[in-house]
Parts: sequence; C-alpha cells; structure tokens
Amino acid sequence: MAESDGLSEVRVPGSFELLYQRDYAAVVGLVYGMTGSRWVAEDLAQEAFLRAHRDWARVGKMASPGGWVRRVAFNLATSRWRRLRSETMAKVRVVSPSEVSNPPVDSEVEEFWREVSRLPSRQAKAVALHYVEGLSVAEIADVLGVADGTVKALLHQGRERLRRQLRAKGLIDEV
Amino acid sequence: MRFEELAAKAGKAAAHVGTQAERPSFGAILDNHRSRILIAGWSTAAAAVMVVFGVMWLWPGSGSESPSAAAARPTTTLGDGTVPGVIAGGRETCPVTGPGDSPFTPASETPDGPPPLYGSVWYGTPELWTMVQHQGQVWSNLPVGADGSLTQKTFWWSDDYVPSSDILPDITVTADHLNGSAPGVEAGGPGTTGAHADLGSFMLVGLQIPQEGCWRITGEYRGTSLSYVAWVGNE
Repeated sequence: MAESDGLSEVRVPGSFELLYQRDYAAVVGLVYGMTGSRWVAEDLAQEAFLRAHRDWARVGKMASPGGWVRRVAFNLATSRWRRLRSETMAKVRVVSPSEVSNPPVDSEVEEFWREVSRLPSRQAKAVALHYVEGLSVAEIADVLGVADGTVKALLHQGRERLRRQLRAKGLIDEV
Repeated sequence: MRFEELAAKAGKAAAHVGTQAERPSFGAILDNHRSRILIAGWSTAAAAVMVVFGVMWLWPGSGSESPSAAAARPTTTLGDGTVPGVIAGGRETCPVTGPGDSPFTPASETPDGPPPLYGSVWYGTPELWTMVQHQGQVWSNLPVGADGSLTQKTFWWSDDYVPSSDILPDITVTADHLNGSAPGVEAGGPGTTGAHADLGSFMLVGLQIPQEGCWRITGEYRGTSLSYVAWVGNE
C-alpha cells in the first residue's frame, strides 16, 4: 500500500504512513515536554519522521521504528533547545496558526518541564517517556536502547533530582 | 502539591499538546522540506545582493527615491471595487489576482522581488504589499486541520513597519468566500514578525480557511488595506 500526494513525487510506504499517523502526536508531545514550544515540537517531530522516511529501507526493518523516531526527535530537541536559549526575536521564525493561538500553559507545568530539561539527558528522556507517554520500563528501554535495569536507575535518579529541584522552587510540598 | 501529582499533570499537558497539533499530510512535509533546502541555498546569494543594496544606499544620491518616482507610485489601496462580492462557479471563474494588476518595486530595504523559487512578484503599495504568483494566486496542498479547515500563512510588508519596535504588528487579515457561503475568517490583530535574508522583514498572519473555493484575502495595517483573490483547493 502506498500513498501518492499532490506535489510530492516520492511514494510513501504504507508501513511508514501507519507509523506516522499513529505516533506523530506522541512524538510532538514528547518534544514539547523537552522544549516547551509547540512550534519547535511540531518542527522537530516532522524532521524526525523525515529522517525515518529517508532511511526507511533500514529503519522500517528495525524492531521498533517508533523508538528510532523518538530517539532522533530527542536528539534534535536536545541540540535545538540549546540553540533556542540564545536565539533572538530577529531570528527567522515562521509561526503556525496553532501556535499563534496557543493557549497559555499552566505555569507549574511549564516549570516542571523546564526543570526536566535541566536533568542529565538520559534521565530527562526517561522521565518524558514515562510521564508523557506512560511507557513501561521495558518500553522505555526499547526506545532508549538500554537495559531494563538502566531505565529503572535513570527513572529513580531523574525523579529524585527533579523532586529536589521542584522542592527548592516551592512547586511541591512533600518532604 | 505532591511530586507524582504534578508530574502526572505535566505529562498529561504535554500529551495534550501532541494530540492538539495538526498532523499535516506527509507529502506536505516533504514539499516543505524541499522548499527549505532551496531557501537555504538562496540565502547566501540573497545576502550578497543585500550587501550590494546597502552599498548603493550609502552612496550619495544612489539610494534615494526621486520625486517623480515617489509621485508615480500608487497610493490607493488595491482590490476594493475591482473584485465582485459574489461569483458563481469554480476555479475557472475565480478571478485570481496576478502580477499584472499592480506589481511594484519597494523603495525600502526589502529585496526588489521575491526569489524565483516562490514564482511570485510583489503586489501592492509601499504602505502594504504582499506576494502574488505569476500564474495567479492559487493555494494548494495546504495542511488540513481536524475540522477540515485549510491552513495557510500570509506574508505582508510595509514601509511603515519597523519590526524592532513592533514585534506584534497590529495587522488583521480577513478572508471572504466569493463562490459560496462559508463563514468569513479574521486573523491577526496582532500578527507576528518574521525575517529572512531573501524576504526582508515581514508581518506574518496565519489563516484557517474553512473550505476550498474562491476567497478574497484582505490585509489591513495602519489604515491601509490590500485585497487579492486566491483559489484555495487541495486538488
């Protein structure tokens, strides 16, 4: 099964299209958690799927193509996030209508994800996969390409560090 | 609030952003990607052209507009009165706006024409201008929203626009359905700011057109309005 679309002459494999339709929202949500920007999340999610499409002959044969897309999106988000911190308003920026009308996000939520972005990279990814997608330890291990035990450690360390950071900011009241 | 409570709330909020995001057709992503590659290639050449323009501007007398040229440039808005309120039929009868109606060269720092990859020319007056396609304004292969609406970004320029002091310009854009009765659209107020080496500084307003058809698009900025007609269709 394949899709042919308007201006594009490239045929999109059916298996890729299914992955794209199934996982696009989840990848946008994950990247949003890492960056705090809906526009950046959409942009990077699309970039990740583009890379999967470009290399589909290989990626499509993997045990978890969706995990591969998430890893690419995470890596893009990590480097993009660093760049965004120093970007100015004069930088090229084409904004989607959905972002123009983007409702303000709860400040506690914003603060939570800001603190997640301060975690070591692998801890931040594990935390995002757990809380945004609700993935199990085994599923997170599959996405990150590490052992189950490593994921348990990353989640434990990430949670503890995050708890300390949030407590210091007065966002949680537990001891 | 407890940690797990906040974490669950934050996770749910991020997931919600994902489900609310419009998922464009993958073909549209591919086309957009190709455009970006072309734009990136063009930026270097455009930057060189802008340097030349900068030198010309600094050269005594070379960059200023002559009185006769100033007098000759159009001062009235376009589109008003030249576009029928309602038309019958489809694309064949839609009076799409083309460059013949009023192409012009800006006197400002904006490049004297859009890069060829856009297939367009400037259209309007120094007070407000946009781009229209050589073959007439036709929008196709647009992202489709969950409600079936078609999303398009509109670009606007003005000699009166100073992006450094007006990041959220008070520009509004309306869309009126000429060959049907779909509700009109109003966006902007404010718009947002963009800049690119090959397009200069511009105002940007996103539109969500409810359905395909013949649409009159009108921008209004600081008392000046500019209209053009576009055929919107994803066929």
